[in-house]
Amino acid sequence: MICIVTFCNDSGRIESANADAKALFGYDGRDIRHDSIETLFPHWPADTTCFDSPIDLEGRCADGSVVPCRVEILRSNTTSTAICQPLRENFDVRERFVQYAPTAVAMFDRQMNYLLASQQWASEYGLDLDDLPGRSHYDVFPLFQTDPESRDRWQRRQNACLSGRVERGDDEPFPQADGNLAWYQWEMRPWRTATGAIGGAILWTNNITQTKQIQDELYCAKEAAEAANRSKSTFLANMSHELRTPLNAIIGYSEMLGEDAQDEGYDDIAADLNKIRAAGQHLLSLINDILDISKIEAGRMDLYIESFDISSLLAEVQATTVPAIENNNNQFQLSGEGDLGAMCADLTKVRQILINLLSNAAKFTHDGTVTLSAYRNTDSNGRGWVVFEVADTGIGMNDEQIENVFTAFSQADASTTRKYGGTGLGLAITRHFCQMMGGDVTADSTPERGSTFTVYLPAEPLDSIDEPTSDPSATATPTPIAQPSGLVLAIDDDPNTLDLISRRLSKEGFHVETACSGVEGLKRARELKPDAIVLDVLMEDMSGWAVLAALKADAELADIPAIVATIVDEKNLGFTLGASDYLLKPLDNQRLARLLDKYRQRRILGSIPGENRILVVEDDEMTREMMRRTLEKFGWNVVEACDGRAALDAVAAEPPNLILLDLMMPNMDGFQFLTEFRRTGNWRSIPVVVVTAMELTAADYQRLDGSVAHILEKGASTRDELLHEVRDRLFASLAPRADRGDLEMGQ
Amino acid sequence: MAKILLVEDNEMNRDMLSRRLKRKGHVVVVATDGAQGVEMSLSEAPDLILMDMGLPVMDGWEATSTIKAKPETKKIPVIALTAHAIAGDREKCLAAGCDDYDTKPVEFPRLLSKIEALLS
Repeated sequence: MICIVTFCNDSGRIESANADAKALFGYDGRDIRHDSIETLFPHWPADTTCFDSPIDLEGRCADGSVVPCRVEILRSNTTSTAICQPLRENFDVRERFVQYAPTAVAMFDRQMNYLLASQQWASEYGLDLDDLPGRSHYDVFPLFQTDPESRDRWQRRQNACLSGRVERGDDEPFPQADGNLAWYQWEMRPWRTATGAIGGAILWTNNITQTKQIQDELYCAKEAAEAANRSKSTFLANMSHELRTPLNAIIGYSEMLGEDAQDEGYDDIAADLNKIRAAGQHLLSLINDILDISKIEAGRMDLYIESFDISSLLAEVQATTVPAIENNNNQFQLSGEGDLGAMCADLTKVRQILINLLSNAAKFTHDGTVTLSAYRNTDSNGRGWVVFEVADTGIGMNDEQIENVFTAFSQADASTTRKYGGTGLGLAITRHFCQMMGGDVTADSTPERGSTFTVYLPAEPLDSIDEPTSDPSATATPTPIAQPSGLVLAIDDDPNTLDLISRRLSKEGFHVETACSGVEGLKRARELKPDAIVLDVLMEDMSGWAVLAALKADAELADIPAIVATIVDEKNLGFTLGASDYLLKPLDNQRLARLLDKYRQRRILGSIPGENRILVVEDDEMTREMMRRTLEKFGWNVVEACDGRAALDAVAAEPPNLILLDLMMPNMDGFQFLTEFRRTGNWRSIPVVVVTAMELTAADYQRLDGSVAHILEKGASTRDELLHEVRDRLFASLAPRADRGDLEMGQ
Repeated sequence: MAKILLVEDNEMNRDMLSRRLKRKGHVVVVATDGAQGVEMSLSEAPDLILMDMGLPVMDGWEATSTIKAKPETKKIPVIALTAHAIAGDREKCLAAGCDDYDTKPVEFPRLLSKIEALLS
């Protein structure tokens, strides 16, 4: 800002002042011509002739305030020009910054009294900006008086913030004066004084009501569309089933009558009856195709993976398709390496794929050859594949036709349907089946020369997690040890889950052994002495809890970390209890000491700043007291909570380094606590050790299992998330063990 | 030739299958629901049972488990017949104790070979 004022040398009266000058001195819109230069500079020197360099002068504003300026005076014969610059702006830039910040933001002291707020904050919530400073946030909003729960929630956040944490949320509901609900995105973070102490909180909010409304509408529209599509698919599936029943009779009776007619020598009738039967069978195959595609679209097509002999399959497919192939005066050739051995896939679907491709080849080829070949292949990742090739010397396809050949309800062109029949679904189904099994099918063709369809299927089922589509952040999870080599025992009564867990963990470098029942699991644990155990709690023969209790009761096995994980496959839901370790009541001091040592070591390894804070969550006062004393003896700072709710508050106030958790408590039990606890991402690194009573009765088990089932109903995470978490917990549990192992070897 | 118990509620299917089996020289007795099927598996002592799965009163899965749970009848082979060619159905049938499985509409020669395999 450069202020220019000209004035008469003799009278000292102002002749002109530029806009900057008027703004600086607060004379906006007022005429100051003919006022004395001393109006602006009360200490204007009597003789200015001697000033050839700028001087510092005090300026006076219209409201009487003082603004120090540096003034340069340029004299001419009759008038002088004063060029002045304020030495300091006569307002606080930072205050203006807050005031005019294009966002709703407010600053509070430690008691949540207002210090500063932006204009947008005031307009967003209908507040008077001048009225705010000094008033409590909880008084300013009437909501906090009428809704104690929301007050509690914000006070918890305030506490967390004052302990140095940044709190944030994406969908905070906020009732408006008109009764509607507004939604806010918000962040609350501590601000610090010059000495580094936390002076209070700064809260930013962003009204996302409109975005959320649109989001909700989109979500509803998507749900409705999906529901409609599902109804369509269900309708088709049901309809197809209803159509099959009468076909049953048509095919069956025409077949019977045909046999009779043949036996009696009525060959002409037999031929007609055979036409009825063939038409029935054709209709049936069309219905089957529609049934398949509608099931695929409804997401109801399941895979049944089994091991089968490839050569037997080829022979079976040959027997089924050769009559159709030879109908058009074609030759069938089967080529391939001698014994292909076995592959692991859905036999029914592989069979259907090959029959589809061979029937197509037969349909579009006359007086030619149809060749089926099969061979094994290994890709650059060392994964084994089985390749099936169906080649014909038929009419072939042009490039455009090849492009659409796998699209549902599309044949090469409409005339194809008239000429060759079919639904145009066979190849779409074929591709879906291939992709479901982790493979694919490609087409290659030259018009008038023939087509070749090539099916690639993994010799062993692919792990869905192997696919690059899996969450990249999950793979970026820092791993405490570069080369895990731990032996993990997975106990689960569902073979599919076992398979999934073991493949997932093997990929991480663990050596995985499995047991498919609790009893076997215990036996294997005693034999193998694994480094960690992944355990399902909902097993048929022996509850996971009983296994856990037995493990912890065995002196040799008690130190093995057990990770409780349950996958409910049907719903694709997973659940980890999320505990890193277990202690049994009554507490064994030696074991407790070892365990604490382990976590202390881990804390040092992880170099988490802070003291040794341990949170004991236990409803029984005596037990709690006893644990506190023991833990203090080991040098831990103990914070106590009498139930899950209190524990959550305590963690929010200041996250501890370790949590000892009782499972059965009033108000909010250990399971509910863990469910809530797990929701906050940055608490995940806090290890939780579950403390359970060893002598659990049958009823207790039931209650425990019931709790788990209850949590499951709420729906926790997807199978992939669960597996990632199991993996993370394994790393976390095994890191200190591995280090200790090295130490022991070094000695 | 063998004595076959056909448990099927649909009249046409029952008629068709029983006539074709009889023509092949088998003795066929029929039951129209699962409960009757269980009863007749005891009273008729058949050599083989063809069991529809979607049956009234007691469905085929339950009837098969019941038959397979009784010492007198547990050795009788059971072939499940279902109209659903749905993956998982086969496993469900085998889990109920069925010895084999075929989908409807029945392809008669294929069913015959399954019957012969279980009877030999």
